[in-house]
Amino acid sequence: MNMRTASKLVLFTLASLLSAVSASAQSGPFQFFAVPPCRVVDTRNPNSTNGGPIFNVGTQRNFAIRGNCAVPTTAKAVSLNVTITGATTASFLTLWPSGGARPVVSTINFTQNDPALANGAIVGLSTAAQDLSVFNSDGNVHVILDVTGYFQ
Amino acid sequence: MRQMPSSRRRIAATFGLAVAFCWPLTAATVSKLNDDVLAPLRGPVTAKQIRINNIPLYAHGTANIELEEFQVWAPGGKVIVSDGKSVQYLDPPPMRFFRGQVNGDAESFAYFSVDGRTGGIFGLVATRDGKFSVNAAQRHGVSRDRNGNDFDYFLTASDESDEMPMTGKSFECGVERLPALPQVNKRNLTELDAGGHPIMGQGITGTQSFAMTVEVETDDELFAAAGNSVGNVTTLVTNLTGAVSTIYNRDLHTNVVQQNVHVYSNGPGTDPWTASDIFNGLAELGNNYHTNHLTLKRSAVIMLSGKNTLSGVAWEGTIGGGDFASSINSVSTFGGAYAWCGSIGDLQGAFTTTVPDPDATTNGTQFGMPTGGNNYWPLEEYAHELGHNLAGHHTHCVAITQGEANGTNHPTQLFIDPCHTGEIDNDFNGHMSACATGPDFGSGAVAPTEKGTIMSYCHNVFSGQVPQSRFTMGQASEVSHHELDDYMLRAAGPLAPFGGNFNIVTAVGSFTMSTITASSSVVANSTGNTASVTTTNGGTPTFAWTITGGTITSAANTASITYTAGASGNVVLRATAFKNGTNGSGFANGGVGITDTKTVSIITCVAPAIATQPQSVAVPTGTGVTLSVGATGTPLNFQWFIGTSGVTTTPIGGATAASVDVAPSSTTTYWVRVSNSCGTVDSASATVTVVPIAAADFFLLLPCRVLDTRGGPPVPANGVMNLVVTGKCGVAAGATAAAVNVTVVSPAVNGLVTLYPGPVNTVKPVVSTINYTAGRTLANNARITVGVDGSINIFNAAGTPLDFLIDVAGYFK
Repeated sequence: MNMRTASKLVLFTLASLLSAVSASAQSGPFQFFAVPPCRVVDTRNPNSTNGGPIFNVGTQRNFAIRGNCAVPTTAKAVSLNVTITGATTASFLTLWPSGGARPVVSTINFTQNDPALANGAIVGLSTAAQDLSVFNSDGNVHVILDVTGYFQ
Repeated sequence: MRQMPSSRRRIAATFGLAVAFCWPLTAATVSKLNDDVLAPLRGPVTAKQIRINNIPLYAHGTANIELEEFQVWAPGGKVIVSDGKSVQYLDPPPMRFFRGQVNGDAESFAYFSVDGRTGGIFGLVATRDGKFSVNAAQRHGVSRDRNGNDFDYFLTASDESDEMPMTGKSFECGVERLPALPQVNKRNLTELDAGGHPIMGQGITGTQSFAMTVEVETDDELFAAAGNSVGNVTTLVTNLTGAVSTIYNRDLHTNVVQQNVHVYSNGPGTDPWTASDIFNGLAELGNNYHTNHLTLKRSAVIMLSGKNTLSGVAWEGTIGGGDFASSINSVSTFGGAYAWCGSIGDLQGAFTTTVPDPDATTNGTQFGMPTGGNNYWPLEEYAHELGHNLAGHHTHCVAITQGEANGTNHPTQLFIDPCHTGEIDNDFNGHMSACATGPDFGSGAVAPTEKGTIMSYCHNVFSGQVPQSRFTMGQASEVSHHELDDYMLRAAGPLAPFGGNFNIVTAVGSFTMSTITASSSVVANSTGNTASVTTTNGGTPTFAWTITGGTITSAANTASITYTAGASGNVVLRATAFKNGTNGSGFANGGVGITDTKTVSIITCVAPAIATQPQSVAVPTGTGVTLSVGATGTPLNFQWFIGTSGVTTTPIGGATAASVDVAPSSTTTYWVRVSNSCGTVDSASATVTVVPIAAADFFLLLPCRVLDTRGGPPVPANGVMNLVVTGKCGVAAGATAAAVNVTVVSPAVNGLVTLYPGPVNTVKPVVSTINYTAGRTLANNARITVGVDGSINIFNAAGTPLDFLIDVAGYFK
């Protein structure tokens, strides 16, 4: 069985959370709040803050997580499942708290041969209204974010 | 659809046959019909859909015939009777027309008319085995009771070998040598409609429906031929229009309805028509209507004359074009949508109001025209001259292909019915010039490959030489049919003829009716059952319902009905919708009926009982859950309520099935009432307890495989597996979430998995936990929400079962 790199990628995103939320290596401690699974972003939907358009090459978009899907404005991080579909070329996504510099990490790597592909992630949230940044490296791709819980 | 040709006004004519050689149909087999057989035809006028049974069409038994009514009279149409001194406006006679089929014979056609004054019935039935007519013979010594019961009815089988072959004198050609007429109101495909959009042609093979309204003129001679009877004239005219409408509706998607019928009732000299030949008659008709009736809305004016001219004449391509100044034989007149038909009435012997069945198969030819008797001439002439008004010209010089017209891809020039080569030029598309050198069928040329049409020039002139002509404008694959597309193009423009701002021929859209909406079963003897249909493009349609196995308890002529079921068996509902009323331009749309039938089973009522009560459940905030009840009984009706059992103050709208999805924001109690006409039972209460989202700490575990379906049943295709995770691998009771790695093992197809909290009746959210590709073992890391009952649901969105692993790394509590 090929377990691939899922757990390694999660470690990367934890690292990005820690580096972005503060200059130090860590913040917290936080407690976890499980929520009913909920789709918070889907770029296949009509254009809106958490909807379309599709990501283009080198595009960064900022989404609003807090205040949606039972995630309160006090949340500091969110437990997500990141799904891509419709990729036109091999690329990767980076997720990080909005407002800061984009960290050199990848949250999910994929190719145009993947009809759809997902990875779990825990990502920090900034205090801006659009609190989560997503960056796509190459080609076009649709991004779907499903929330399963938050930390605060 | 070809570009509409540039056209010139011209006169076209059909010439008839000598009277002396025509004989009435000879009866081969005659059956007397029982009094009750035709009784449904005299039923209530709301019954536009009827069935007559036990017609002895066959030596071994009888047949049933399904009929539906169609309209011949436009709303507001009158019989205008002038006696030379005053004018009376009479309502149209209460004639009703039905067309339909013999049950079980798809090739059959039946056509009946019922005279509402006398109850007299006339009918024609064509089957795959033969042709029949139904005629009345008045009983002697019986006073009329106006119900038709003073008639005896006979079914007559016609043996086609009994029909007399036609012969007759030749025709004249002079009409085609009239000087060319001026072009007026030329229109083509680049014309724009009132909205500025190009007018698109309406294909005859499509479903677009059209309607046109005709004014009918008659004269003293027809009145005399009809035995000085206004009723006889009106009945003949109405029968003719009904048969013409049958042809036009079948071939051109156009209903022909008559508006006013003018009858002159005081003997010779009553009518205003002094001309004695077709040309001067047409000029007179145009002048009269242009002078006296310019603003009268109509599609065309048809003269049905009793003058023995043996021919008719009409302006071609004039419907919708308005009047135009012209001259015929140096007589100044107004041209337009005028047609003049002669020798109507007694051309074939004694006057009869009957007309042949335009849908019958005659001489082995579908829609075939009889070669003698049967009063075929008035119908043929009426349909033909009106066809000229519509733009259809003679088909005898229309070839199947241009190559055949030129003789380049066929050994000889080949035309639809090349009976006459004298009618040259003045035509479209070069067909006529080719025709000028083609063979004259009357001189023994080869038989054409396509049968003749209504628009043939001389189909009845040369007995035995011209192929069987037909009561048809041509069928979809035939050139003759395409020629008439011109008319459809004309039908759509923003026309302002006759001083009015309206379209003279109106496209009425594709008239449709839905299937019947009704319960598939009803309780024996139950009342208040409903059924309904909806229509489109029907204007203000009329409806007709019939029922067997039950009783209609509401009006039967509306879109929805209420009915009472019978005691057992089935209820058979039948709905027919008819276009009716007027459209925006004030013209009637003829009665094209659309029918649907639905069978509803009659069931025996069994009082309801609850087998499985809805269950209380606890879910996290924001989670939906499906509540269900199991019940027995027949039939079963459900209504869910909020509150404790028996409290009906808060019904849930639309919650009328055995289960309901609810997503309360706070703890709420529900129940369901199960009922039918013989009992009611209430369920127990079921409470959905909403558990708030709570803070949780993380507890680390040694990695542990909590699910491996390879040792047991896989996650079902497009189905859910429920798995209790608390108490396994160290996950503590009360855990709100688990940190897991999930793995799909060698999936057969592409798909995705959704993990969501239990219990199993939780409403599945639209999210994904892992998306997978056929053949690729793949893992993903996730934190999954655990239900209040300690379980999770695993949904596999794929058409193939899936092997699935869940490895726990820790939990939150």
